[in-house]
Amino acid sequence: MNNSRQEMGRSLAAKWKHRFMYVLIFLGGRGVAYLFLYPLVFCYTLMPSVRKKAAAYLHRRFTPKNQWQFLKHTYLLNLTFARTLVDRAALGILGNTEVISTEEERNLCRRLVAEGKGLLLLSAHAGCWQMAVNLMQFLPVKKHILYYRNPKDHDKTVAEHSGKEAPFTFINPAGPLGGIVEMMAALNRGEAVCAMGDRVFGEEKNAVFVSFLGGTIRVPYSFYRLAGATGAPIVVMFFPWLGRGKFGSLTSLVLRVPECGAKKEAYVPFAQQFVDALGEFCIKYPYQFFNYFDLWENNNAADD
Amino acid sequence: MQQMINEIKDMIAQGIDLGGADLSSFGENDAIFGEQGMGLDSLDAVELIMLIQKKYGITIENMQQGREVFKNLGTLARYIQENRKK
Repeated sequence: MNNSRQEMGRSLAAKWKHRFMYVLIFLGGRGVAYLFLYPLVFCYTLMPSVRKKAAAYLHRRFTPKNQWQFLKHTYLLNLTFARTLVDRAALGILGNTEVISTEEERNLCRRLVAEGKGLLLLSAHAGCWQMAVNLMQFLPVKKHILYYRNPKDHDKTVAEHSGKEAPFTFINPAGPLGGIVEMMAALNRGEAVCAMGDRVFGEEKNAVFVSFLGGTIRVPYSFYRLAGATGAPIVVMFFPWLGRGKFGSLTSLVLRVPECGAKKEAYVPFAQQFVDALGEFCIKYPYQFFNYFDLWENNNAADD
Repeated sequence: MQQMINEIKDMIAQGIDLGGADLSSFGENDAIFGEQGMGLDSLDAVELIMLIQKKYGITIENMQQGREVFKNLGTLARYIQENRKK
């Protein structure tokens, strides 16, 4: 297993700290937990390793003029992330979360599912994506999520908190063939598959280069290849955090990928459209892109 | 059986870019995916499933079934022989 996979999804805080927050949410509700987050996140933000993780994105998004500005941006990014984690836990523990989505969006997803070719719901490590997959009951088909759960991740899922059955099944990208056969089988059965299009998992050769926030990054192209092969439409959705216990859904675009064969270059335009939509999300919600990786690292050759 | 294995190898050689690798030495018990086998990766699986669908009219709808089917050349050949619609 490579280092980046070991790091992927690993909890920053110890197990007991997570449990402490869960108790706090249970006893005091979201408000008390939010209050506790201010000093807690500040302490974490002072850690150089935490600032380093956020640096690549924040420097691209804000170009901070000095260390204070950078510290402020890091703090606000981490605070919003921490709030989404509190809300996710609160959804499982207390069960109350408000989702703001339009009937039009829900109908669009239902219509796409009704086509019978499956639905690929592509999102990113942004906003409340972890919560959103728990609240898609409006989709009348079985739902799957491509998700790698790091053994060092102490954060409980919503279903683990509530004790109820999860409304989706996990497809493990670290499993046989990176979960591709499972995803393809699910789409062939007309089911919905949710995945994150902003992070490469597994072999680098399965990535394409696209432009993002003034630089070049690598993103997976397997989802577009799958959509082309199965005829499944892709709906690009993000889920911004809108305040205490509240998040929205933002349908950015629907992609229809024709069968373009095996050459990955054919899928670059679709990957670029996805990343452009993500860029717009980052402009609108600058403190809600939680991909704590240097996506631009070692892509200098492609920048030339 | 051997004939079907040869057909599969031809199909892979023609339909999937394996950088000109020679597949002639692979037999019934050789894995299709991974470095220890024929070297196909996860995205090649999409191509292979498409090729099987197109040539034999077979759709893999169940992951458990998929895992068994793609274990090695022999399991795939047997599955195609038993389920082909074309």
